[in-house]
Amino acid sequence: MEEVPFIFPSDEHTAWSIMIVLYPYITGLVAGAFVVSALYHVFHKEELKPVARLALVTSFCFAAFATVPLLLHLHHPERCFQVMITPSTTSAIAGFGFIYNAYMLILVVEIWLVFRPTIAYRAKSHDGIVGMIYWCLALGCTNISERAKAVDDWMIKALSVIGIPVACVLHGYVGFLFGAVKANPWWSTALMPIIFLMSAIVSGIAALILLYLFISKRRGVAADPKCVASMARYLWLFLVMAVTLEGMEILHMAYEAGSEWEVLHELITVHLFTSYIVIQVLIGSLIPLLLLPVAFLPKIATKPKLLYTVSGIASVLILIQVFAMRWNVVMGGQMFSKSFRGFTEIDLHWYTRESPYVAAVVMVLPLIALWVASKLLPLWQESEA
Amino acid sequence: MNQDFPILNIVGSDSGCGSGSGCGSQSNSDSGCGSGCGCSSGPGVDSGLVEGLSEAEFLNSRRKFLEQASSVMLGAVSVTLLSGAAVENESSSDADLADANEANGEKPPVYAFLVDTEKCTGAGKCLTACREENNVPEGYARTWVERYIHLKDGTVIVDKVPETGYVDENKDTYKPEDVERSYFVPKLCNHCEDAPCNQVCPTHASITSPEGVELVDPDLCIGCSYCVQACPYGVRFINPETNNADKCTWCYHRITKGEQPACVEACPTGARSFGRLDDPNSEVRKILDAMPSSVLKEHLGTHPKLHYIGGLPKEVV
Amino acid sequence: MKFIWETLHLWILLTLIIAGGVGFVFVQQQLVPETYGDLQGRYGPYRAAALDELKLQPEGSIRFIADNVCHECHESVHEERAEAKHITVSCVHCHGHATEHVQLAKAAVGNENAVIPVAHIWDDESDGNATMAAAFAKHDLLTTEHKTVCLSCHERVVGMPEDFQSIITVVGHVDNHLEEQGADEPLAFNTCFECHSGHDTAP
Repeated sequence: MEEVPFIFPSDEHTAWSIMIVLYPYITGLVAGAFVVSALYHVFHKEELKPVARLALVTSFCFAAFATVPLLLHLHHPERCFQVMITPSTTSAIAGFGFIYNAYMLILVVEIWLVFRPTIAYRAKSHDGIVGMIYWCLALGCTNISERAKAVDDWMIKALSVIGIPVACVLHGYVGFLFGAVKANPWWSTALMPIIFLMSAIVSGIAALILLYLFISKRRGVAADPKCVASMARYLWLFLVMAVTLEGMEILHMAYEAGSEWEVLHELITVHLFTSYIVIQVLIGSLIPLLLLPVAFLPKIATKPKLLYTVSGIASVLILIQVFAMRWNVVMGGQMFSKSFRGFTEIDLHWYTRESPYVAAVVMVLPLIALWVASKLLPLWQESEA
Repeated sequence: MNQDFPILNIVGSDSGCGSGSGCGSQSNSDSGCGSGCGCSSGPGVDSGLVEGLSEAEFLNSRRKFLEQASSVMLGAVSVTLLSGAAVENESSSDADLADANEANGEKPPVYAFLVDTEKCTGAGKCLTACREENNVPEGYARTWVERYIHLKDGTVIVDKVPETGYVDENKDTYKPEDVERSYFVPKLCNHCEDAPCNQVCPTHASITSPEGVELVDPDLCIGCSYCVQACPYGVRFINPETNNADKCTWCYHRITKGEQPACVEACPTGARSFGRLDDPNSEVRKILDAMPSSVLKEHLGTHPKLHYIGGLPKEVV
Repeated sequence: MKFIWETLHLWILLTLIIAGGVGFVFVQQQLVPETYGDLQGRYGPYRAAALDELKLQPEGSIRFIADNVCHECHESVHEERAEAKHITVSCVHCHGHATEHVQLAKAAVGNENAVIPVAHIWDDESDGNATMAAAFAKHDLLTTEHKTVCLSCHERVVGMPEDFQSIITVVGHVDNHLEEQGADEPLAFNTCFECHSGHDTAP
């Protein structure tokens, strides 16, 4: 821009902090992990059996903390239930309360059914307070006959089937939340929901690969190379789709070169250079795209060390890529003023409850929850048998 | 609601009067309202501003490009007024019909805000008036005035008028000899017919009053900032004292008492005016009928009720 | 019957979910604020009582004092100003936002012993080199002939309409103007008032 910068007074304040970056990141992990469990439960990808339970519980642990960044962001967190008391049908945010609760309900019921035999068994075998807790968790019904199990299995499958669209809606709507802001040309694209969805699945699979490799190592149990290879292949497939869509979006904007492109071009090449071009595109997308095809090698299952190294590195890079993508969308959209005449300084609110330090703590909480869950419930089916 | 008022469709081109198309259609379309309404201009109305000027004086006060068009304009004004008088009898039945639809029998007023960039001198009196009136915290603004400077070398510089005007430490630094042309553009909430900020509000804390004023319910706002992001004009902010979304209300507490908004009251040159759009005798309506005008970011389809008389240069966003 | 017994846990769960749903709807209905939905806006219902609350906002309601309020007491000034060009300039632009002054003056009606605060005088002697912002912020009422107040409108800045009576359009730069007109004390804070008056502006 040849003009001297001018920004609107309200654009001098960064309205959405890193918490709004974290929120789609966490819901993305939720949706992605659920898709992995559904690949096993619905699409019968038997090689994914070792991680099916981990996937469900991981999805739940992240979902349980998905509202935390939002509550930290709201200027009136004490009024948060207002979105369900006087919801607006025309607001994407108002949908959150209902979609989130619907998803949580499906997830909790599915997890409960999956672990019900264990819960019922422990309710009977433990005395005292522990037994009471498990008895309550079993809803007072400890029947685990073959017939009951068969019905439960059918229910699990049905919930997985319902859960897929709900998880997609949960995350697609997050994309819509940005994509439907016509005031902001960096956000306003119909591709936004599907881009968010694809990168959500990608991040969920990557997180599961890492968790599986890490936990297996900690437990001293060898990870199943077939399972890892399968996840790595799916990861590559969804990454191809995610990166293609992300690229198409920019290409489309650049090719049409509408009046906003002047600003967006400078945004990408200058203000988002590191986080977009370097981190999101080169490091986070390109390297994993080149690394992951290793999982397609014919005898990769016999070379677990190579497979684990490659998919581990790729997964770390992809988790960074997805975070960078969320960052670039949320922060990039606030880096230019709606006057389209200048760029703003992003205020990270370092010393408020929305600070990046707090964000780091919020990211650790689901992992602690997962650790606690792993103590309470048998995540590994082989140990149960 | 405003479909009744075809004047909203006037698009002022920045090169001057929208010539025949704009003016001509006005005279035909002025069959909206009967007389009746009798704009009750409050005691605070600055009588020297709009009312004190005849139409001709008003038009002549405008700069060059309008002078060429003013003869066309004057013609249009007289035709408008004549036709307005001629159809008064017929249109009153229309008005009765419309009134019958209202449960309480009284139609809420429809307001419009006009800005005449040709009259703004950048004194900043509106800015302090707004801050004083509405307790706007420092560092935030419900209204501001932009200054566009087209330098002779072709660059366009935009800055913000300081609240005390260009005095003391804010003395103007630009030299008139470097400047091709320059003008001030006051900005405030557009109170859009289809307000994106209202649409995205999750809790119905964003409300459209019966008068069409966009307001924030102080009890229901959760401070999610979605409306701040959705406003294309950047007029919303989160008030750090109330933690609610905050915005220009057209001084709702004043206009509902028959007063003018504080910024309008404060403007010494009549660059800002406010009045009823549904009253064919209001100054606001007469000016909008007679003059080409434009709104900000029209392509977004928000249908603002803040009109810039004479049209805006393309640099203004 | 056997099927129901085998799937009892699911029926218990279903009951809990339905109870939860009903409970949610019940609680939600209780929490809907009063007058919510009495009015409909462009994008749906809202709390009608908010309008009445907003009519009283901000605290103290109308704060910006319109001229007619000043003229209620200062009738002579009104007459003085009636024909002047400066009639369009609000009193508060030169005298400060007199919100508190007006409140006290209104409260004092009928009370002969009431003391309405004396206006703060802004001149270079008492105020050093106070800026306009500082002077206006100091008290809520200002009596002044300070040139900064005049110049805040009348010093030519880039962007002003060409026909506006800024000093430069008539005579050039402020300093030239003072020299040309032979001001006795061109550096004095109130030099403008050697020739001009604020209320009735003879050129």
